[in-house]
Amino acid sequence: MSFLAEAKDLRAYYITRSYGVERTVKAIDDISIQIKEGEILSIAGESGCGKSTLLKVLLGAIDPPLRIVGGTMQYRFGEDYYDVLSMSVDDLKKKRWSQISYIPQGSMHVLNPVRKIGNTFHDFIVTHRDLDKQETGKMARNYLGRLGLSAEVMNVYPHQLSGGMRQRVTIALATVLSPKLVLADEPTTALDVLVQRGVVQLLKEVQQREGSTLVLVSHDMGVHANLADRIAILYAGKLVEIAKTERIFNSPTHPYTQYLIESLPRLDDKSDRTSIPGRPPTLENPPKGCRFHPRCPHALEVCGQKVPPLTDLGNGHQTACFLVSEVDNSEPG
Amino acid sequence: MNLLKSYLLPRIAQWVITVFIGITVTFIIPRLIPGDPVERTLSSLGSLQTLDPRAVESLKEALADLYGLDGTQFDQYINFWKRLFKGDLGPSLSAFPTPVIEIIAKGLPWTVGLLTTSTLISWSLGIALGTLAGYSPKRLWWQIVDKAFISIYPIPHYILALILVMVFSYYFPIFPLVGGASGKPTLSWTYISSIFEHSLLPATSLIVLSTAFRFIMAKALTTTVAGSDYVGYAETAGLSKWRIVLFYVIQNTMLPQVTDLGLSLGAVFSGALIIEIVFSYPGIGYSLYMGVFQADFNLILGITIFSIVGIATAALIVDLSYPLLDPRVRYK
Amino acid sequence: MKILRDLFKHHLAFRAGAVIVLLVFLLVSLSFFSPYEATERRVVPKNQAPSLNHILGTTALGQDVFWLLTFAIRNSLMVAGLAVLIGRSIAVLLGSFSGYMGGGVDKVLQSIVDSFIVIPRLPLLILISVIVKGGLNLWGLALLLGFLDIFWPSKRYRSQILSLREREFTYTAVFSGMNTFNIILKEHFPFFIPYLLADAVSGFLWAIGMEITLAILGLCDLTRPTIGTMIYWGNYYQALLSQRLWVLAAPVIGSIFIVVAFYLISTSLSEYLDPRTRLKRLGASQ
Repeated sequence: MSFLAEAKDLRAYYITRSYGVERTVKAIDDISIQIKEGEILSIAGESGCGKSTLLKVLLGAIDPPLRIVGGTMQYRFGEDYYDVLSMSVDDLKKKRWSQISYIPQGSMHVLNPVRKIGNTFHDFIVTHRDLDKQETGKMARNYLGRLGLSAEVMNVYPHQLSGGMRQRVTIALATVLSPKLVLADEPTTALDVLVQRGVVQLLKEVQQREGSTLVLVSHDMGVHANLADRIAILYAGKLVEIAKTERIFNSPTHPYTQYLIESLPRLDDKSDRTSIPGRPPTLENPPKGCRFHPRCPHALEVCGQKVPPLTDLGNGHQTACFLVSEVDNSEPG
Repeated sequence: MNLLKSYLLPRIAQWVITVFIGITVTFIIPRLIPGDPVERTLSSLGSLQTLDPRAVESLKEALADLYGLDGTQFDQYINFWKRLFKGDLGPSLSAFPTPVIEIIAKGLPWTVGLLTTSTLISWSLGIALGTLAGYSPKRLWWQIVDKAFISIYPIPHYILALILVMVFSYYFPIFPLVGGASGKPTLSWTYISSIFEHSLLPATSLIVLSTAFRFIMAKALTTTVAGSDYVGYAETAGLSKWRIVLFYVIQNTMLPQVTDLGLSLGAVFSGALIIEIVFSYPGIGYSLYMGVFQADFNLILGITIFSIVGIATAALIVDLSYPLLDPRVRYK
Repeated sequence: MKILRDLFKHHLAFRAGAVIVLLVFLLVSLSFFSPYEATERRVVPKNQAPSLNHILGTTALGQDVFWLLTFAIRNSLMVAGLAVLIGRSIAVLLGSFSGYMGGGVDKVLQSIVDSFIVIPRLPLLILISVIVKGGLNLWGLALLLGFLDIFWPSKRYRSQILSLREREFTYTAVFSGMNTFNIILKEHFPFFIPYLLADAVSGFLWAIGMEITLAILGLCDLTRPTIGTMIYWGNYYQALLSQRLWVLAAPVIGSIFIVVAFYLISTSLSEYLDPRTRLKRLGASQ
């Protein structure tokens, strides 16, 4: 299977030091994940589980206080492999937008408030393409047109656009150079429900037309259900389960995933929604063993001692839970 | 027209209020002190003996007229305003009967010249350096510049100017010590270059101190803007450093700087007055000094009133130009 | 206290500032052991260059520069300190009143405050000093400087109050039924006071500068030694022309050390209080 990006045994920590207080937040602790060409991969989990950090590492945007403590991270474009962790910042920046792009959270503030949208497009395009102002303008207008956005937005300032429109413009800005890999961080958060739908559709449209790969971070399982081919569930800096979307929704195996799915409202079910007991652990001082065990209703003794390995259940379904791996071991064959 | 109503009109109203309050304060202050102001002023005027009795008499009349001591306090207040509207600040006491407004008019070009040049230079220099220092705070070079400005900024105007006088006029006498120019005012190169030469030290003192202030402010603002989403996003996309600094950082940090310039003009002006006094630069500040020296109360009062109106107006102009820079105010 | 300890341990600028300020206070306390009276003249030979007997030399009026400087710094610090105390107290009251009242009261007050901010203070200061002429002793000077330094700070305090009012804990306190006075006292002041301390330094610096300026113009009590009057008398007896640099150097260098030290303390304090630094100290989450 050809992958576009791959992280192996990745550890990324936030290490800060200020007035003699040193702190380490283990935002990503030993995660391995492959992003396949052409897919839409969703990363789900509660806030503070490390999903945004994972996206930053995939983007190669590793700025202090974030530091990579261990593992490897690779891109593959065509036949060429790139080791992200040893690439220079300048080389990484050259790959951005033309190969890998990023749609940030909260588009309210990602557009320069005192610059016309058209100029912002020019800034972003001219950084990666040797074009003059007229050509970048033409390119941006054409692309906006293809996405069904009016070319009028080129002449206005961000504050003159609605929130939904600003997010669409941001998506266009991120994808105008047809990147292979698009990373989106909570692209629908802070938008109202109707607008969310439009944005999700736009994302899907861009992905399909350009044949790009989309990695999406969201805490909204609804967005995942609508968009994703595969879903990865993160908990407290660890990958706990990854599988095709329908498997995650129909037969989740990790107790945490089961909680996430059960907490979704269903049309045919009128019973109370259960919420997960307890609180997510701090990433500064996570529990030993399986990080979910203090909140897990099925916790075994081993869960508090050893870290469950990611076990393959076939069909690309992987889970990190002793319940599953123990059962697997006890069954013959 | 929205802009006019929501932005321009309130500023103009604020100007009216400022001028009203400022003038009222200068009206009230002399009246808070007990005693006859005419006698008080005359008794403090050292040069009185040298004037002939007729001049003293007319001076007395002028003073009585000036203070408008007839009628109720309210009548006096109205008269005070009436005179001001005519641009009449009364005669100077030390150079009687030269009108105060004439003395101010003579000093004004020097002060305005000194003030605008040094403000323009320090404003651009401070913002440029402060932004670069704030954008790459880890560079050793910028840390040194930062420390230097932090140590200069709190030094009082007078002290810094005095040091410059000591160093450059006594020990290394490269620059002329006093005055605004040498020779007769003509359009010749020597005259113009002498203006430049004379203004170099006073302007340098002002520029150094104002640049330090702008630098510190620009650096703080840049730290905030550099952490903003739009700068972070532009960095992620690999935009070149100069493009980010120019269009993403400075264009944003400049806005609060313009607002602040309007508010701090009074302080800048006060600084310029002190500098003029130290260097005997022939502007309004020096006239003020002479006024203090010769107990010319009327001149001091006139300069105070004039500077309140002048600074309020300059601040209004700065304020009114703000929408040109900020589209969020322009297109609401 | 923890703030000061943290800063002293980890902040170079703060340490430098604190050490200088301590030295300055040491110098000031020496003034109580001076062999000469503060206003006494002709007690030592005139115009002596620095020597073992008079380590900073003597003035044209026959005063020992070193001992005179201890008095001068004491008086200048006192004037500036008192001015700050007066000005900032009123500013806090005005700013918090305006901020907590809000609405029309706030609008009217702000427009008055904005007016006074724009009005240049030096001509006004000179005008008043000229009118009270000679009547301006150290106390009067402190009072006058205090009154003229109310408006800028009150505007800053108001915006601090406004931002505190919008914070989450205020709402929590309001919903839990805490009364307004208690909220201000228990929830807001702990945040406000360190900010006030850092901010007060700017008033202090301004007051020191203005004291010097007025003294140069001969507009305050010239018989009392202050940094300003030391320079005034130095100029009066033409210290520069007659190459008696020590007379001016002592107050000039002294004042620079004082202002820079206080400023360093104030900037490191406000850096420590900056929410961004605070976040770093508490450990960044994502």
